[in-house]
Amino acid sequence: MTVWLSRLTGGCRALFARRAVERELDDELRAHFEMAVEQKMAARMSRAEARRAVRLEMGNLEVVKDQVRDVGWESLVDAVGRDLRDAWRSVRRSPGVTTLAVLTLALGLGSATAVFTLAHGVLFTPLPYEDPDRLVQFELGIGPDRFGISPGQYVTIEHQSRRLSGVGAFYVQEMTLTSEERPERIRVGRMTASFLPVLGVTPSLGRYAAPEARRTGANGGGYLLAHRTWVRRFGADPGVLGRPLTLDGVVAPIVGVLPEGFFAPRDLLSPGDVEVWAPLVLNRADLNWGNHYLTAIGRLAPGADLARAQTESDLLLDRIGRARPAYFPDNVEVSLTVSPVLDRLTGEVRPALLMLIGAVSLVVLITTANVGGMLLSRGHGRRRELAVRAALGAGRWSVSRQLLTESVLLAGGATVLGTAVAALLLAILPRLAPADLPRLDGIGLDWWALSFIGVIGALTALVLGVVSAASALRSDLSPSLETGLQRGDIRRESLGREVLVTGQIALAVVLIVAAGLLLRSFGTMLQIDPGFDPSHLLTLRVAPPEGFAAGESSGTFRKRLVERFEELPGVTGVAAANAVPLADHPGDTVFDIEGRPSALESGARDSAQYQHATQRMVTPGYFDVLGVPILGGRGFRESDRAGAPGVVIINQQLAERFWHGRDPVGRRMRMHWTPHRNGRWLEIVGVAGNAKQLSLIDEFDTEMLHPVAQAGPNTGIGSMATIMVLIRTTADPTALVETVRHAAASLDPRVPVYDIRTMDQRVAASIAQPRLTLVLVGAFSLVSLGLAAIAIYGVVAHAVNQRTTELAIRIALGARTGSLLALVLGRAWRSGVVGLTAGLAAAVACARVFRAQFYGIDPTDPVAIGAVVVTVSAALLVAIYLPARRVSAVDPITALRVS
Amino acid sequence: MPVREKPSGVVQGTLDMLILKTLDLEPLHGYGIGLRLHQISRGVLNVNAGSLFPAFRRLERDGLITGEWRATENNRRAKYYSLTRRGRATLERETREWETQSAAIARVLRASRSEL
Repeated sequence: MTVWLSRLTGGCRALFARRAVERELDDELRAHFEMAVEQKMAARMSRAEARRAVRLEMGNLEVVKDQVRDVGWESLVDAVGRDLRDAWRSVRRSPGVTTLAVLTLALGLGSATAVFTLAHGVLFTPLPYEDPDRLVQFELGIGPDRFGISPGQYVTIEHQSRRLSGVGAFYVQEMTLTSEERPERIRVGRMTASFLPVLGVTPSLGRYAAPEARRTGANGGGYLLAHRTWVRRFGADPGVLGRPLTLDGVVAPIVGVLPEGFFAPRDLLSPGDVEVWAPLVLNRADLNWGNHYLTAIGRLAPGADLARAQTESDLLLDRIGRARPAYFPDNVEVSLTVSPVLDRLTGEVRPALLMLIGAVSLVVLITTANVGGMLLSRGHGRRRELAVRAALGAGRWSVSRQLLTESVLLAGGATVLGTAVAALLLAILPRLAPADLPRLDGIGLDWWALSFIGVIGALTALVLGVVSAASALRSDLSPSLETGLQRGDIRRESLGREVLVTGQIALAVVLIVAAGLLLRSFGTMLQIDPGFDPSHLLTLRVAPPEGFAAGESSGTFRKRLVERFEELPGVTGVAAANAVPLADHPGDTVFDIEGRPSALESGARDSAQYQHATQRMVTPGYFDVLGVPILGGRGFRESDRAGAPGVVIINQQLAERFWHGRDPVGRRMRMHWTPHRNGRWLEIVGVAGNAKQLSLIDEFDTEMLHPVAQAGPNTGIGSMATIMVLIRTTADPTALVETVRHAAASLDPRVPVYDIRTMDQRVAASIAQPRLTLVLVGAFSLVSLGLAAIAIYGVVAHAVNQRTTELAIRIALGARTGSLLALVLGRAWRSGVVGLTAGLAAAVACARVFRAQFYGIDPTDPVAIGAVVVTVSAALLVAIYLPARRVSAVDPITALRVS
Repeated sequence: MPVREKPSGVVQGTLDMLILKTLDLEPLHGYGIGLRLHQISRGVLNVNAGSLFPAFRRLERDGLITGEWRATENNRRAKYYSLTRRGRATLERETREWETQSAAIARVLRASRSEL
């Protein structure tokens, strides 16, 4: 609209050519005045009379000018500028309060922004796929365990699903990348031809080979590079297309580069970053139905929703079960779940992040209440100043506008400083975060974070402004000029602060209880016995040279490797396994027990009777080196070799569940593969202690251990693709890292050695997420306790100062110190007790909501809550006692003379 | 009954319309406009500077009138306001609305029982 345009230009002219506009108005009014005077003189008045008459008629010219100036929007700009200047002056007058207020607010705003940005990035940012809300992921549940799906099931879904417009699948494996430098183990994703089209992703460079072209066999379609790989290994060279790449000895050309930020939907089956993508061609003539290693993704067809897709997948599972009887056990619940991809990605960390959001929101409330209290007590000291302003004609609106502007200034400063705090925290937090926290890469101080801090900064300014303006306006200002302060004012004044202080204490108690519970549960985690001795233990993975995987040479290489490491100084024992606790999952199997019904057909539905165990291949030294005790029977011997009778060691958990206290040694069991193909019978020769699997806080799994010499492609046990080596040392194991690398290289320079970590590091990593939550909530709770203590200190100090005269009179009349203390402390006590009680009640309610975040303790854990009550009471007592002490120091003579 | 000298005396929109009408006859300076309103209304409307000048600023900002410094017949410099094209269109529209409204109001005030 042109009206807006002309208003805009007019206003801008008034702002930027202020002098010309003012002069014009002056001239115009003067002309008006003179013309009026002339008119009156023409009516035969004297000049002086005429002027007086006109002045009376026109009124005060300055007022007229003000009215003219107020017409445009620019007058608002002027007013705001004036308010800002006033506010700046007044804020500078009390630098101490101002600094404290800005710092406190900045802390609240900054930490809130950091936590919200983190949570937003992890939980809510859309995935980098086309229409990601329509993507679902399949999960097969057998009893308590969760799997991907098998190729057979995948093909069934692909052929029969009507609710999905497309399905694709992938899995991730490790492969050796051979180049001029030393060989490396990298993560390689293998995807079906439909995978990228279902996600709606196209390579940013190169082509995506048509599905037909990929039927020619493994790697026939060539490799796709992840963007990171392209940049890091190939210097982002666009000429990379067509160049050959060697993976596990197979040479194929690079056919494309995936877009930046692309990642496959992850789950437990495929963690980590995939560097190269290779085609996955399922052998449709001989589909595997028993290995659930595929992550299958589907896109909801137009018109279909999650509920319908789930109904359909129940139906499909039923068909799969009927077409392939005896693949699923009868005695446990089997399910095929369809869930949104984002849920599968973030489901694990969601509750922890929501709890952090809750905690940091409390911090914002506490800091705002704290600064609100500061402003109230400062406003109280400024009563005279405001009264003078009111007496000089400032309306209530203009007084409150000024107070509002002051809080805008405070909150504005805090927002700027808070942005720095947030940037700092966002740089630190991802480093503290556990490795399995997804999507941390892109998280930083982005526009989302900036707008977030802008919005909450504005809200804070508004709340603070309203609080201080309300308290200034509630009482009549004029008496303040005459008598300083009325008693009624004092009471109302301190009531407002009391409410704020009580609220702060209550909120702080909620945070401290949360921190206490987290600390207790973390302490419980640290005391968990992992079932082995994690100290002085170095773990690393070695990929044997190519061609090793089959036959005798594997054993030879492994033996030479172990012997080589054993010779190193400071090493007391070396063992090898396909996987060690807290590093990787070794794989699992269903088993039969001789003389009992087969694994899948035993009676009632009871997941405890589900004959299922993780399966580990180890060298004889495994139990000694790791520190897992043999509880019955014997350990493995060198004589348990390939040709010897098959033996197995089971863990205590398995023994107890299936032999119920009877001795299993001497019994036989076997792997149950398909109804027609099973492993050979293995004699149980020993029972080993339980060891934790992936995390300290997991329950013990049932576990079978095989001598690695009896494993291999034709044994029915499987073979060891890469070797996990355990090295027990006398001194700090990290000191050995380079020596170990050299030792391995001296054996064969082509052998990649990777994933080198001490067992202590793995233990810490397995509880990194609870630790992050504990650190953050702990820090928040300390800050809030400090703020609450400062606030209650302020209230008491204020009460003592305000009542010095009264106290002096009472002392002069013979009052005891005790009764004076009671007088001053009455209200502070009430705040403390009410705040503590309300806080505890709220904390217990919150703790129940977040019950799952507390390991091994009850949300009403008496130790934690007792400790919180003691800590908070002690802190508040000190905060109350320090200022109250001054009561006894009141000298009646001095005090009365001053007033 | 003379209209009070408060801005609220003449309804704001009405004052704007009256100014536009005055300027529709010929360009005038501020004093002239006040005088003209007084004369035409036969002394009923007596608008003071505190209402006139904010109205000028408002109308000028909205692009309905435009000002130009010129010499008066007494050789004094004064800011003469004249209607813009948009101002004329606004005046016509508002006059029509005013007439419709005032006719309607007049009918309501004259209504008698027999018309029900």
